[in-house]
Amino acid sequence: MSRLSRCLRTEVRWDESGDDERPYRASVGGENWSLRLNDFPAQPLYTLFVGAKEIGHVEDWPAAWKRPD
Amino acid sequence: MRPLLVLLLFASAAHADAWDGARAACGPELFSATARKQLNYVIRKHYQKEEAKIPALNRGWSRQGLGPEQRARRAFAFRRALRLECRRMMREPAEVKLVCQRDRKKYGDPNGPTFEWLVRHAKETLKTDDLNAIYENIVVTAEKSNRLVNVGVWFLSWKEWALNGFSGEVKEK
Repeated sequence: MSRLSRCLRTEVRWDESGDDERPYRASVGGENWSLRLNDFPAQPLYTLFVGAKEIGHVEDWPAAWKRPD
Repeated sequence: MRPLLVLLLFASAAHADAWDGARAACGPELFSATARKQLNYVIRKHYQKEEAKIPALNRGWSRQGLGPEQRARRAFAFRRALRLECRRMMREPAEVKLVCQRDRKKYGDPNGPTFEWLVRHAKETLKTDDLNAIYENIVVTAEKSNRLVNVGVWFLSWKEWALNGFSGEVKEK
């Protein structure tokens, strides 16, 4: 299974970051995850980063992820 | 039975509040009671299919004798209307609100770049004041750059399918 697939299946509780470009962040197993918002619909809605590394695009919110309250 | 009804009413009210927040961030033009809600992945496929019509439309406008500025304005109007149509189809109010906030900050408009923003941006990118070159760039640039992104997405989605079964939602880096 690829890293992105594993990330999409991981239970994550996201927090708001206050940054319009990267509106969500989370701490997962000691790593800092963030979601960048792209130019939707011309581009996929989100791009997932773990630390500084771009992991891949996310089109629709995975069932295992929880949005901020 | 009664607790379930109360829960459903509460969930419905929370959802309505979320849409009110999105409406406040985006303005009324983004909302339609009749828009069919879809997954983002489906919405973007629709966008790509429709945007791919711009080169043929542009050739038709050229045959009609339209100049670069008129063709650029038509391409811009087509793309913006398509962008709004697609955003009306989004299911999740929190995501609608986010894209509007992003666009307002980046472009000064919650529904994407204005024509004037695109002209300024093309001037800076091309480092020219040649308006005809700038207008031609507006017709084709977004189509070209997004095509590159999307070719990558399709290729890597098929790779994903080959490895894990198709989800149609991701691009692996």
